[in-house]
Amino acid sequence: MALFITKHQYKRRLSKFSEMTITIKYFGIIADITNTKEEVFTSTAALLTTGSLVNNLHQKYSHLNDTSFVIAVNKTIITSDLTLNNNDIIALLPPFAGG
Amino acid sequence: MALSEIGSLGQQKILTAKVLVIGAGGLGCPVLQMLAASGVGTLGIVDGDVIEETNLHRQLLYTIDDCGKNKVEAAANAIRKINSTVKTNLYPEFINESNIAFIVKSYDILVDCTDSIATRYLINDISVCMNKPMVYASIHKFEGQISVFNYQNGPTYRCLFPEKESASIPNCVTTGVLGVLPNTLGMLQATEVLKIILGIGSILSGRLLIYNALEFTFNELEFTKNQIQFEIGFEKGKQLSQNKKQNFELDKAAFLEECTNENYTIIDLREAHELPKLQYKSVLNVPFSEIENYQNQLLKNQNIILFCQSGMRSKKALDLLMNNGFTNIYHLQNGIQSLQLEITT
Repeated sequence: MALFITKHQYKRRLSKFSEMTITIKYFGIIADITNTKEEVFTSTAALLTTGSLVNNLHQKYSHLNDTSFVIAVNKTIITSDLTLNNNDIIALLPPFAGG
Repeated sequence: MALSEIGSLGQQKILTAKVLVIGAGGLGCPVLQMLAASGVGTLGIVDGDVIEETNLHRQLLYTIDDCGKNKVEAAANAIRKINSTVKTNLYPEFINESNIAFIVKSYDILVDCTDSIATRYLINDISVCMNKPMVYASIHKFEGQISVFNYQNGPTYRCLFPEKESASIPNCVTTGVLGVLPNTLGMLQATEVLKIILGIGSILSGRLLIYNALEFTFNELEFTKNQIQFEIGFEKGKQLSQNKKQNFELDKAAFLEECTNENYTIIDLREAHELPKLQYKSVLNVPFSEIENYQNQLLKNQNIILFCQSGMRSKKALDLLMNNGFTNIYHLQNGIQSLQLEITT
């Protein structure tokens, strides 16, 4: 039996399953841990925060737990949890030691 | 001089500037080279290290003949050849909680060329408390960071990287480094120092530049002042500045005063041929190589003043004797050359 929906209903259904794409950049020792300078993270969650993203990364890369770093969203360092938007760019930045 | 942004007023500012370069290694060498060439009036150099062959590929102030020498001494020699008008103050030691306030206080600008995050927090704290800008750089493999902290009430190192009790502090891992990298960062640091002295351009304050040599990318991240972190730095800096000044360092005036005090034994650690000689009755000549044996002829609580040509040997002898229980022992900071006496035989 065919299901007829309006164009409006169709678009609403699509958006519920839309993906959020976040680019993550890694620096210093964190790039060594993840073995990459950059990766793309996609999420279908309705709400994605920096905190939940970082938790995800902690699970993927266990050595992150031993590493101190700060987070930047769209080139600004954040000091508290932030809700992310599609196409945001996040950076994980550790202090460098060498001289 | 020819640049209108600098002019003769700018030259004057450079001549009267006092810059402390903490670390005379990968970052410190290019910083010192450029600031000396630019004619910065006074350069303080802090480093407890000696030169090794593995340093030479990136620490360009040093040559193969310098291996085994103290970095600060070799750096001063190199600087003298670049620009003999630059005054150098040498601190052949590593920055720590006891010496930082004493060393830092006479300078206007602090340049962080260290390889330890713990030391960076110390430099931050003293820079916040004494209100001096801190020109920071650090490297990791092919990447470098640079920023200027505490510039005209701007954000501090702790604002960017708050210290976390739990996480371990990573330190300089000896994984090797491409020689050009610290030299690139050091040039950028020297640029910021000159801009601060001259009061021109936009200083990299509240901005962190991350340079990746391999990818040839520059990423700039902004960050703001964190009042809580600022105050943590300030309080810690206050504690550092209250640490008792190392009272075994004598400056020129104190030294000359004590020379006339009959209760003091003055020991000249130099070789017999070194000039000028000090014409005081109580001066004994015990070359540095013999001081370890000679100490048996001294009393542990005797008032002793040590000196040598530049303050290096006397500092080492002082450390040796202090470790062996001598309690009333002092040395002439920066050596007899700093007295600028006439050479008399």
